[in-house]
Amino acid sequence: MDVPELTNFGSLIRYALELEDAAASFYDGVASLPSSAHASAAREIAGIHRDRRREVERARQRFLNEVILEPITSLDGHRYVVDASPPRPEEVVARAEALEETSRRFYSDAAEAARSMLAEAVRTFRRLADGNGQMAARIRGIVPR
Amino acid sequence: MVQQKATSLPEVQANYGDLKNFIGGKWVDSHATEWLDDTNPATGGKIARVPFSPKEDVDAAVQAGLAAWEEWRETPPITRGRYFFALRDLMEEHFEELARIVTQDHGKIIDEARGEIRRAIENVEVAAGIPSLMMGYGLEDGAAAGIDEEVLYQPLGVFAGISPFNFPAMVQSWFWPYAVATGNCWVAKPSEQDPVVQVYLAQLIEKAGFPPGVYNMVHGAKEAVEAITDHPDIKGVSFVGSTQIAKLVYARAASHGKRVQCGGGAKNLLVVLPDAKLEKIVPNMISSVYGTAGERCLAGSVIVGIGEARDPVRKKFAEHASKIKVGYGLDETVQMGPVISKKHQERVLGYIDKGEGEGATVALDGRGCTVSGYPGYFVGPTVLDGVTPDMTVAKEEIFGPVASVFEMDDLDEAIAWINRSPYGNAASIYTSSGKAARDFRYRARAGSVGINIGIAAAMAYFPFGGMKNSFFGDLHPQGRDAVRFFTESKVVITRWI
Repeated sequence: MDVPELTNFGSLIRYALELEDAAASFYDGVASLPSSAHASAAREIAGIHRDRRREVERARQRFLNEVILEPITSLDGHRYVVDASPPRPEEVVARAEALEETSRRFYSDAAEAARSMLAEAVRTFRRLADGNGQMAARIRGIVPR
Repeated sequence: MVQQKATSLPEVQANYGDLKNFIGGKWVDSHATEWLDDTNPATGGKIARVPFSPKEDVDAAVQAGLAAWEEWRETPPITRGRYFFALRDLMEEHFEELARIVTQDHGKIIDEARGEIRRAIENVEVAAGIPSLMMGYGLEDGAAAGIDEEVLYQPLGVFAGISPFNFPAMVQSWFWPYAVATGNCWVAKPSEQDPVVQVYLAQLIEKAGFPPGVYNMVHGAKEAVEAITDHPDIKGVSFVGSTQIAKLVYARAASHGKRVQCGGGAKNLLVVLPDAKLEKIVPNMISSVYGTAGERCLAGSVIVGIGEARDPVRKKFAEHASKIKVGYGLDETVQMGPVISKKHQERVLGYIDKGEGEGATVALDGRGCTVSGYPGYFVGPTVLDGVTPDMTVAKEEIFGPVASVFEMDDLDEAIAWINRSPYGNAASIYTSSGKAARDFRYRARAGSVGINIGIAAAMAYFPFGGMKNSFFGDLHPQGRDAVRFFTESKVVITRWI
């Protein structure tokens, strides 16, 4: 993924969409590994990320207005780039954890950045960040190292 | 800085053909003999042809409204409200198409267009609550012992709305949902410069099941406007546009005995006191000045740093403005789109030339702004420094991405300028002082006041403000004001014998 420009609420939402797409694609990759014993679980998690994408889209539709197009300067896009390329079997857990952690960090920081603008968006971002934490725990439980 | 990204969101359609009027629940050809090419301001390419409908088309729409009216006003308010719930769902479903059409036709960036559609939906949502909004009130023994008194709010008949190019989806929604929800019928006349989204919305209104004739739309320009202001069966007119035309519409429609509400132009001050938190407020000011390429009646267009705030504000504002990316609004990385037309581009550039000619310093020059691959009507973010109150750019509405920077010594001077201005649409103050903020909101004669907010845009359940030459009329668009504008109060005094 390219380093995102996180300069206003709209760009946060766009990057969130990219992140969810990347995560879904990553887990699809895990599901298609030849030796994957947990293909169905990985497919399910990919589906969860697709659902999260829809949640982000709904947030954009509900919360974006001209008042919140003002620039954001507190987020450094370099901190949130994820590697969603297909993993080798032995690196699945580490890569999944890294992906979920980066995503969690992004949503937590985005919630903070949006705090002065829109409480509803903050709640969505926090919920997504919590979801990343739960997802990482779940990965550790279902995918063998 | 001009930047273009190769990947843009797809347009809903490349071309929308010859636009039709929507009258009595049918899409009909206009009797126009004159048509206007509607262009995409970023590409300059034609995307539709707009008929300049004659008087007879307006009359047909009014007759359709009259034919539908009796039955519509007898429809219970809660049932009328349900049509708006259905429309609201359709607007959510087609949200992205609506936003992309706005960008394609008007030029604003996609996120601004999404924000505009959200505002339009909010008005539909508020109108859906019409049973509560429209309730009258009564008092037992209000007239005398045993004689009760009550007031009812009743619809009047057919109303019409004439909307501007700068918010092609939203401004009609300030009016028509309230007019129709209160039991009136409607004739919309969208801007001829970017009417496509109104066509799409009318299709959704049709799909939502509103009875034929309740909502009608006629495309056009001067002749259609005059037909509306003069029509004997139109009870009232809602308008937003330039002050010059607002005055004309107000006077002409009022002379025909109509209710009228007309929003006009603006020259909005952003006042920064030395105690303001600059790192937080400059981004907000940037959004106010350059959002929608400055084509917004709430846009801040005059920046005033008071006392010690003067130099840091001027420096930081120009620095932030220089970083704005200009391009086609369907490219999601772009931060500012073109202005609406070649003619308007020339007008805005003319103001920059004039400001420079009258002695202002062009601290950031948006002239000569080009975007690779898009031969449209771009003007880059511009900052005119050292502007004085006597300059043309200080007095007239530019309606483009141009900030004029003033020097003033204290808050009193800024408030005096605001109150002397013929306009009174909006004014904002940036400060940490509650006392200064209170003083500003108490004294500034502007219809919308922002305290640490650069765009004081009223939500759907509040009236959209405007004073002096920025608004002609009494009751404003949106919210309770709109409900009152579109209804007549009737007092009933009852005695049972």
